[in-house]
Amino acid sequence: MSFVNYNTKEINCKIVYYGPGLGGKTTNLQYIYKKTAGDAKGDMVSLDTENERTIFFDFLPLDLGEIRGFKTRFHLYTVPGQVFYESSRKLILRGVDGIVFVADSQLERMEANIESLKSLETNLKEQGYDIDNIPIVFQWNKRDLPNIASSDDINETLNSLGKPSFDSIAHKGDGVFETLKAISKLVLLNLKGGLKS
Amino acid sequence: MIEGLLREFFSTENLESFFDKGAIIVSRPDGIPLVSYEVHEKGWTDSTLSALAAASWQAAENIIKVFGALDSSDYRFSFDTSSSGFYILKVDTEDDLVISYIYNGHDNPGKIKSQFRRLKSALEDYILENRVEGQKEDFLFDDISDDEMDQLFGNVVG
Repeated sequence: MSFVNYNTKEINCKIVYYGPGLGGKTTNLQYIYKKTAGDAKGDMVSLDTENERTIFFDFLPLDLGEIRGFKTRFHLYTVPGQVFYESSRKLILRGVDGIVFVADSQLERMEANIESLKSLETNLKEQGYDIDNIPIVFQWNKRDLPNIASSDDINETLNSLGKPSFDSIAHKGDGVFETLKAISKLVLLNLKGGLKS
Repeated sequence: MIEGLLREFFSTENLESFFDKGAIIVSRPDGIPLVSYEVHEKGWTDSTLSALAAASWQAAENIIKVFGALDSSDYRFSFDTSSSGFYILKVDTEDDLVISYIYNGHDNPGKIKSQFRRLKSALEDYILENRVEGQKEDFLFDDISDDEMDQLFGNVVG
């Protein structure tokens, strides 16, 4: 749940990158970290295994500038993609304001994408969210690989909600900031005024 | 607003014994920091520490659920040596906040933890007594143009 502080005129929002294992969620955050100016970002924290698979989450705090006098701070998280980390994914979704679903475009990963999206829907529902109403954007990653489904086909399979979607090659940065910008806008537009004292 | 209440509370408390060799941070359950206090040179960011503290607490809470029912207000999360460590308590109010103390070089950590638990109890009482409920407002922004978003990101992308 976002946090609007009227005293300091500051907005805090939580965005979670969700999707199947090895789909490119961490790569998105790494690229954002690499390309963001020093004073706008905090340390990127990765709780991962020795072979760099996310075990709990990656976290990157991002201070974007001001919008209409409000300082904006985005807290970016990834969930672990591997199937057996379901309980960790539920924890990370707590208080989420917006979701980037990073799908793997490879044909052989389509079942994993579908399974991950179902898990997202279930986990959101358990926490009182409705996937139809929460800000969400889709990212079709790995567009540079040979054996991929067309964007139209992935869109038809995964995006029945008709939400914004972006092609990406996360390790090169293609589509990474376009995706982040889109979800940030949806999240900001979804902000309630908050509780006044 | 809870953040204002926290600031008021900490401004009235004598926190010298804590600040001497440590730092305090209060976090929401989603990991967003509300307030932090420390006297050392900033070697960490509030956001990162808060995210880790909230996640540590939630992970521990879920592990302990193995044994069934849980009254998490009774639990304490501790990761420490005989002089340094990380101590988290849940603030038992409707906000589900956690308060963390990170310390280094204490001669008697048991004593400072006991003081920290008393501080947490005092904070709970303060919130309970002073909380004023507000009303949800409408959306903060009616519309945001693409130019405004470009400008927002233009400031930070190197």
